[in-house]
Amino acid sequence: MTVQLANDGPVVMVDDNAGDLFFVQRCYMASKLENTWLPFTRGIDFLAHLSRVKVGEAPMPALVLLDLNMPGMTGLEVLQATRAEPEFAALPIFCVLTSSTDPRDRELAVGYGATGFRTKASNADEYIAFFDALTR
Amino acid sequence: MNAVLYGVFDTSGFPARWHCGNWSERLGWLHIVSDIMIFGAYMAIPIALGFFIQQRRDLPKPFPVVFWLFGAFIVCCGLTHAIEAIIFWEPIYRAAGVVKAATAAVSWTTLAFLVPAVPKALALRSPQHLERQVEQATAELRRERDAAAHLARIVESSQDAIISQGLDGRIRSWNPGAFRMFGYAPDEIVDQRSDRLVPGPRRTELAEALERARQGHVINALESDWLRKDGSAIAVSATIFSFSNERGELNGVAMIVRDITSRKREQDALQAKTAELQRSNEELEQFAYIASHDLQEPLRMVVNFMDLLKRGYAPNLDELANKYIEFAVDGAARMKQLIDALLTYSRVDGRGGSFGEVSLQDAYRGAMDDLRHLFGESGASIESDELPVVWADPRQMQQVFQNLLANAIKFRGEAVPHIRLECEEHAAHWELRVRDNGIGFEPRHAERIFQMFQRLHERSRYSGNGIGLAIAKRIIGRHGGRIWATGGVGKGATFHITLPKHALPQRDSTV
Repeated sequence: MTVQLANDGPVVMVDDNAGDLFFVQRCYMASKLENTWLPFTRGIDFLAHLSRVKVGEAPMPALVLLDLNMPGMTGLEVLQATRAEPEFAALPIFCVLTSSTDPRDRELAVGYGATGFRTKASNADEYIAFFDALTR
Repeated sequence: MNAVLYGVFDTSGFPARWHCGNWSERLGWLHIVSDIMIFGAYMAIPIALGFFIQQRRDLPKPFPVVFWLFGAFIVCCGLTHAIEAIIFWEPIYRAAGVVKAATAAVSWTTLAFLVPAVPKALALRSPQHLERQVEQATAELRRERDAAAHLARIVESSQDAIISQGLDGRIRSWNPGAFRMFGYAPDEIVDQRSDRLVPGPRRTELAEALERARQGHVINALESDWLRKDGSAIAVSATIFSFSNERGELNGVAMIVRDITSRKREQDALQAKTAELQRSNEELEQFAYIASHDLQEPLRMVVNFMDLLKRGYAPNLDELANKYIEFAVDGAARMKQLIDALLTYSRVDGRGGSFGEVSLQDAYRGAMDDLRHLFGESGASIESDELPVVWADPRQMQQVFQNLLANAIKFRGEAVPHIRLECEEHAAHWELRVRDNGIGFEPRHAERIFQMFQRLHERSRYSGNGIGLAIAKRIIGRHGGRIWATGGVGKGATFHITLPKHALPQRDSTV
């Protein structure tokens, strides 16, 4: 799926795992994208950020990478809450799956309005290639 | 009247017989005595006949009349003889003529009645005939009594309770089996209402069953909980039916009641055990799923950061350090494979697809498509029997073929791999065999090769994670079949699969 970044807003990643966040950030840094990197470790923090976007206190994100498997608020719940707001209907949200083998999570995420999927990759090249493909 | 009598007894014109012809004294008296004796006897015979008729009032229609006429005829004959004797002194030839005429009339009348009565008389059974009939009837009765005795013996020896009741719902017969089962002696329960064998809430059920039986239905194996005399519950299976008398009138209802308490108990225990097994299986699945999911996280950290380390620092590290990184990356990659395999394995049951009619031929072709590359590369050949349609999960059937065929090629020997896929029909199942000409295995390892992560060969010679057969086994198990392997070192291996034939809804009406 080729998606091009909509604006200059930040690239957001929501993942409870600091290691994953850091790894993807390093890959992002190595890619050609130059948007701000904005990580959240909890879904609720991300939603709080979105409410600030709504009132114009923060810029609209250009892309969201959302981990599905999170404690507390799950990725699916975050996705649902985000899509419930008309302002964020067009926001590209990629769901990140722990492994690619479970078809059910995919079906559910599509139902909730996910833009696409990423499987948590084991090497940096995959992520870099993914980010590079998003350049305008 | 007097003139007529006088005319009849008028003797004028005739001499007495003594004076007519030359009668010797002796001859005359011979006639006279004989005639009088005949007269006496002929008077006595009707008396005997009359007595007989009085006694045998059961004689059928024409016979009494015939007997009376015969009596009258004999009386008339007797009178003619008496007159013959009298004529020796008084020549009453006119009276003799009248009596003879009367005798003639009565005898012809008797004959007229007798002729049509003859066939009827012939139809009357002779005493021997009657005796034979009585004997036959007696033998019949004896046979019936014997048959009844046999039936009674069967009823008495039955372990089942055999109970009959009249139309009033009161028990009429109660066999020893019923005594043993319910604890009531026959004299305690006969004439009691049968619903005392059934606890209050179940009485409607019994009443309905009895009503249906009265309407001519046979209630087969009605399973229920009834009551013993001591108030304890007893699980029963009852067959209930009505019986009629020989005129076809409804006579009563019988119940054959079987104690199924122990069977029920075993069933319950089995059900509990099955439920328990299912629960623990589900828990295990859940566990394997969660474990393999959660194991991925830390593993990914190792893999990811090893990757970053290599990318950023490989040129600055010496050969040894790079080797260490290689080993760590390799180990982590293998761990990932194992976890993926575990995940796949744990999903066979819980997350398998639904069952349907599956053409094994299609599943086999699908597997062959996926293995095209492997076949081409190894030059392997395969021949296959016609494969049947079974009730299965189509994806999993293809998976089994894929695993077994890939194995057959992977573990090839010196020769070019050749595989035979055989299929044999049995009464209740299909047997499939995947036969190869590969390296085979030691028979003592026949079980081990189906265990997870068990390998008979070092990784460097035969790649793979040792899960293909374990998954095949789990899939076949899910389908109610069996899988096993036979073979020997250097003799090739044969994998046998059975799949039950039942439960093809469109093709087979038996369940």
